[in-house]
Amino acid sequence: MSKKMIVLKSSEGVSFVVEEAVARQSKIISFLVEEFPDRELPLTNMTSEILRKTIEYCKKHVVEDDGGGDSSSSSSGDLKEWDVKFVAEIDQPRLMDLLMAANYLDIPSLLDVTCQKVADTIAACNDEKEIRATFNIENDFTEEEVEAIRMENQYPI
Amino acid sequence: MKRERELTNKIDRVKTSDAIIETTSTSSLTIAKQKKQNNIPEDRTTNSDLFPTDLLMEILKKFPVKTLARLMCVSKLWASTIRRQEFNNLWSSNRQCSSSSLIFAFKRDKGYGQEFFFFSSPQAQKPHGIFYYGACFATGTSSVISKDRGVMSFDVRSEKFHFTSMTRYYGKLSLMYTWWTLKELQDMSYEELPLWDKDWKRRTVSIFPGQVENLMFL
Repeated sequence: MSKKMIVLKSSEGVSFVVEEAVARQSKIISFLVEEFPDRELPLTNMTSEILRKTIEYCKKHVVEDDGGGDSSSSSSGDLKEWDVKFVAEIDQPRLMDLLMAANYLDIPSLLDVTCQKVADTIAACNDEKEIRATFNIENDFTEEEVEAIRMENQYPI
Repeated sequence: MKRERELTNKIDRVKTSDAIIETTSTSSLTIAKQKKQNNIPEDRTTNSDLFPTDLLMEILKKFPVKTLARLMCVSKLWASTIRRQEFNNLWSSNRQCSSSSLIFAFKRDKGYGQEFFFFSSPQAQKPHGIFYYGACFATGTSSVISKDRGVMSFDVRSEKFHFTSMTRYYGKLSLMYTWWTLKELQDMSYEELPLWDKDWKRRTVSIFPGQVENLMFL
């Protein structure tokens, strides 16, 4: 039985041919495939790099899911390990893009691992200054306002 | 040329189909909304300082409450996101029912040495904000604050007890007094509001007179 393939196109116009089952992990693509069979699906806000990463993730996960019935704890453990490695290799800006992509394409498991990775990055920061620096967030608080928040949430230690 | 037009056409159609999704399910609503926001950072030159709020919530829901309190200092967006009722709901559902228990305890020390009893009961959703409940307890009957007096708080989200001496604590202790939900306590006609007055003198509560003199609850 030959597997049905679909074509995804990145913002640069690069086409990616993927098995339908792989792409269907995205709820959006799943929907689009049904609505527009046999068409290329342009993903205009995703770069080739991010799209490639996303597909890599989906491929890995579709294989594991196909294992089906005997999804032993070890294989799901392996998959978890793979996920951790997968996001660990991605640098900060790309991680954000991947997170956006997961959200855009509606792939809950990918969204979860990318969010977790960002959360870990935040947790690794020593203070809010470091968080702002890491994520390029502008500090729009005055000293007094920060102090007020600190007072509000003062925690018995 | 023709091909190009065809492609544009397709893109338009895909966009149209997105619009269909938008109206078909509520969960997709967020996605559709997100898309608009996602388009913004496309031409950004630096790493995004714009987490869309939905995504920020997805990330922040992974933190324990103590960290969240700290993260409120990052920016106004983060602070307002953490304060949102929607986030509170998301956070709580992520922690399942463990966060919705009211824990209270009392100590009895007459003839039994000192014993602590802890109870829990379901608790209504808190309307907003502050992330932990405190509990007062005292080991003596004297009204003077001494070393063996303290505040114990139970952080309902991380499920940990914290203890601090009275003298170091200036938080909103009175918050917790509105969370008496046990029937016995509701039936009591007194002591609904602060156990501690302005001078940190303890008012005595005795629910089971003669047996239990010091009460602590969260």
